[in-house]
Amino acid sequence: MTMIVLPKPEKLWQFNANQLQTVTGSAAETQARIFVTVKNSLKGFGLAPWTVKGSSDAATAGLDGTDRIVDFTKVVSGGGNHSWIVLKQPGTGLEIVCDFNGAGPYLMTIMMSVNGLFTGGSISARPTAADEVGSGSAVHWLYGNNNVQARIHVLHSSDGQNTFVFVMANIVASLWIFGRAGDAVAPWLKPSIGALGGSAGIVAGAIESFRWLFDNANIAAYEGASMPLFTTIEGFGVDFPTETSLPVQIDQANNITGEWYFHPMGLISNTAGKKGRHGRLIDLWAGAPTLASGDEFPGDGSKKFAVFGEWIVPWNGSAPLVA
Amino acid sequence: MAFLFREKNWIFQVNEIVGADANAYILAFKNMLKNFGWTVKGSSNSVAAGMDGIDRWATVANIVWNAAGAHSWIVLRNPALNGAEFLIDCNDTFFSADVDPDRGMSPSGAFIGGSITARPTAIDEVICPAGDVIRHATSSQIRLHSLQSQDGKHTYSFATNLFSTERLRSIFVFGQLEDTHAAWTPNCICAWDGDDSTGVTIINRFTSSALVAARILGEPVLAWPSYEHKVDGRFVADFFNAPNDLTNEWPHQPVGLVSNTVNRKAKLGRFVDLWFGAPACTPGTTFPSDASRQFAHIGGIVIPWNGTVPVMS
Repeated sequence: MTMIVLPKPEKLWQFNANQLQTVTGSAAETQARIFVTVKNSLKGFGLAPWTVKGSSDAATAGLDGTDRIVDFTKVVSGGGNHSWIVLKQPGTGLEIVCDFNGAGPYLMTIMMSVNGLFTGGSISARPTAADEVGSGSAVHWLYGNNNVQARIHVLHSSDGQNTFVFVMANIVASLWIFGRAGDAVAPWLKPSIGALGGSAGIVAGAIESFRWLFDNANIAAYEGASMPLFTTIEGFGVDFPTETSLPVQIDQANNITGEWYFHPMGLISNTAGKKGRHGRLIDLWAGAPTLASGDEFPGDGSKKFAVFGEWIVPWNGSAPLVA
Repeated sequence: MAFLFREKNWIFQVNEIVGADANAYILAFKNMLKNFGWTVKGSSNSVAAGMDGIDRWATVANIVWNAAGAHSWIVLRNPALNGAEFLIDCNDTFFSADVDPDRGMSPSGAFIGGSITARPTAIDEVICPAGDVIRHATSSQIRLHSLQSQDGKHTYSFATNLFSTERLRSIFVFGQLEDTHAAWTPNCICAWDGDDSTGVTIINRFTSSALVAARILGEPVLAWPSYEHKVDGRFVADFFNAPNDLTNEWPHQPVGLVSNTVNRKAKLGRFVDLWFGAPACTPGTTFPSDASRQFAHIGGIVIPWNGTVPVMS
């Protein structure tokens, strides 16, 4: 539940924050460079970094541990020969495949295997996994086919179990959430979750708000079969569709102390045979919509938490940049 | 969902038969509080009145209702809670099946005055919203299930009856919240409600209305129970209303309290040792699933229990 006091992160976090991607000569190049920066950040953490299981640069491919997407030129999009990469999160064993089978680098198919089962693949087709869940087809993962300067923030827990990516372009242009669910119910044997979305444009999209995961089951999970999840959040009243969530109803600092709330989020499944509350998000909170990207907490300048859209995450003490 | 564990030690007065009349319920409710150590600051039986420490409610005949004119009232004081006081004022028409007394609290114990025709007042009083405190079937008896923390800071009482499937006919909560703002004083709330005249269940009314009296920044407010919920507004345990498919366990979730009053907006804290559960869970179900009966489910509420078999009617 929403706590009155500043929360203490459950994880120790590593940060590759405020990475700048300037506008280049082409939208495709800028978009590709952003992806490469994210990918390299995931690989580059000192503790429990992500690893590459395999890749394709549209010329050669293999699940051989080779990262062929060495720079933006190797992000080749399209329905024929194209790029893909399989990345493995060490703390959970989950794998994701980023498959550039869309019209441009701003689109990709993103699939997750909680058991790390991606296999196969060629220069024209991504690997697949028996337990894969995800977008199914190419979707927006960034700000659409635009050429906009971005700040890239990648957070990865030191145990390798949880990762957040925020690509900011004055809006939340891309949001990645991968990792272990907190307090997962015991029968959920592989409590790994994944969500990845893009704004699809240069104005705030659905991913700007906690509602992206609250209104729709946009979190991928797997328990014997696909088990898409919603988040829950503290609220009051039952007058649906009137807004009842706390972040919206108390869209301000509280009147007693003048402090803002961090709202934790639970995870529920409404899939037949898998219904129930099964866990919660770790170290990711919903904040009041009134807060602005780049706001930080607490108010003493220590910048232990940063705000991006309606999301609040642990932070590394630097000024969080949003463009 | 929350793992059931007790933060407090509790004293119990449960499965108590109080008869089938609303006045019998009111009398038993008052006596329950006295059994838990509350004292009477004063009372009226419509013939005599005074804030003199005398309990004039000896029998149901002393609980006289009158919407205008001489009537009964009582002020009860919790010595363990900085002398916080609770008022019951029978200034309404009596019905055997349902009663709507004025009720409220003075967190600082400031009720004064009163006569056989008018209740005491307090400068810091907060009055609960109008509505029956119980609505039940007079063809069957009421059971009262009450518990108070050993430190006296939290008092809960629930009435059950055959009137409804979920059996729950009244909710009373009084005392402190946990996980509060240190700056929120007084940390004292109260609610007493059992009105389902609109056809909703007691738990649905309790979760969808501002029924809890509190004071924030020197002013009375009515606050809302808060809870983890899904996008359609229902608390999670209610939305699924069934055991978790993966664990086969009934859900239960902690309950907070929120004020949405302009200039007094705040999440105030959390009820201790009280959870919302799935309304479909059979009333009287106990947890864990062994014979220890450490917790009981009553009409959407889960509370600590004393190991006995809960009897709901």
